[in-house]
Amino acid sequence: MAEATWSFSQTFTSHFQQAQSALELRIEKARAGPSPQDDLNELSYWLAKLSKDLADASGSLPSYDQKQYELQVKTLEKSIDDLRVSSLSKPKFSFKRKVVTPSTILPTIAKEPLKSIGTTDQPSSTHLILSSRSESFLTRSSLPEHSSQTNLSIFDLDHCIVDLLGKDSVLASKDDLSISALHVRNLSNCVLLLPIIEGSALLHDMFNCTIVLGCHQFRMHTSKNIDVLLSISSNPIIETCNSIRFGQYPAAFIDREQTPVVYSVQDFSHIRSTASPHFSLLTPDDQFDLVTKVSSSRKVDAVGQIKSIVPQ
Amino acid sequence: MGLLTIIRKNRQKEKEMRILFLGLDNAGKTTILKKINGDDIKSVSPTLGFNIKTFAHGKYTLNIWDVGGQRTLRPYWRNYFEQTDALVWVVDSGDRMRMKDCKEELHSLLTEDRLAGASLLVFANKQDLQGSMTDEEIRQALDLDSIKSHNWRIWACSAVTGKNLISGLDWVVNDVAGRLYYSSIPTNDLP
Repeated sequence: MAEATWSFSQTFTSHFQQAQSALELRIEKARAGPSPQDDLNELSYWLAKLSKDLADASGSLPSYDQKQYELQVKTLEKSIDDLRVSSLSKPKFSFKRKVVTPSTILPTIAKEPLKSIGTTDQPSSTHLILSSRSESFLTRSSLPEHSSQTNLSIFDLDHCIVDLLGKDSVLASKDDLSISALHVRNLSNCVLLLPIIEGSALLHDMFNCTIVLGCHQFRMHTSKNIDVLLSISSNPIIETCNSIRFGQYPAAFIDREQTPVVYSVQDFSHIRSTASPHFSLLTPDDQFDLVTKVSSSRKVDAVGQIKSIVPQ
Repeated sequence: MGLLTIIRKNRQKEKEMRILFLGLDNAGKTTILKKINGDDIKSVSPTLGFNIKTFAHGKYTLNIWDVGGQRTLRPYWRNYFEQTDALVWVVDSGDRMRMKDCKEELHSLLTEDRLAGASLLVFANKQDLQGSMTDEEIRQALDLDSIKSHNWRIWACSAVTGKNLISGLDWVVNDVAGRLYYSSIPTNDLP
């Protein structure tokens, strides 16, 4: 491992220095050239690439080197900025034609009525909310009247079990529920059992929760101590999270046969080549235990034992 | 390189536009681009970094930069401002809880010197979802009427069905063209 890191940092150093001096040269050239404005675009592109490479390599470089390279990138950025300022101060000479009258008038008259084109028909919109409960067992029958396909927002719950699964739910009274987008915020000590939804899921500020969910995209922010049993066709991401465990959506909760798709979690707070310390994958044994616990939580009395289900 | 090559290259360059797609995470920026391009949208993952798409739209070549909207990536947005002709701000119309965030991010972008003069198209995305906010509600929530520094429009659209995506793009391309190449567009192209 140490040797691999060492050889990586060696190759990276030579690559970086090459790219850095090449870019320096180009900036010099652009400064001397007749129209630095034209080159700026390309220069910023190369600078972005260089700083991205450096960001990717962070963690695999000795910290002193890392710092030095960052300084070099900063210097480059500054000289490009200077170039930008100096090129702006002397605008290029060019012939200018007076704007043709129709195009000057049109925007002004068109402005007001045209600002919103493609307006949706309904004057205001409604959406489904489940919020501000504690120590409750919530099912589809706890939801207010809604259309069969809907956006769902869940927020401010404490010590709750939310079971919106269709299958085998004795308490389900409304059969038609198809969630097209899910927004969750501020949940603690909760179990969330959701079916496979069509759209994306966005979750914020959760603590000590267990989530069972299938979705198209999954994003979790600022959360801690969460077990996630997930079925997903893209890569789930976490940001500013800690102690998150990922497993597969329980086969028992799905009506149709489905082979579990292996996904890879991305941690936006740890964009490096090393493994993120903020999440882990459930081992088959842990997965089995968790599915058993989650299955036992589908009844009202489970609310009292919620602490034994959710991660602490 | 002969004179003809130089002239051709110059002409080609002239017809290029650089469009920047920004917005909070989960807005659907990448999905919109994939849909316009005819790609599969089922496997779109949250963007780590950025995507560049180049395609012909009418007589123009659009260089579209789609930069990830996660909070950790937002500080990097400014690296992409240079030479931007138009800004497309994509909004998740179902995300009521973050409309305030969305408004603040947009208005702070508009104070950027390097985006001065760029046309602004606000895509009120996800209109196919029941319970989404209408474009009128979003216009108010984002306080779009206070924007005087940029020529703007809001467009209700859906990346999943493809509704209004092309017409929105048409508006922004025409608006930029009217500004940059006013001599080359016939007046009946204008809205």
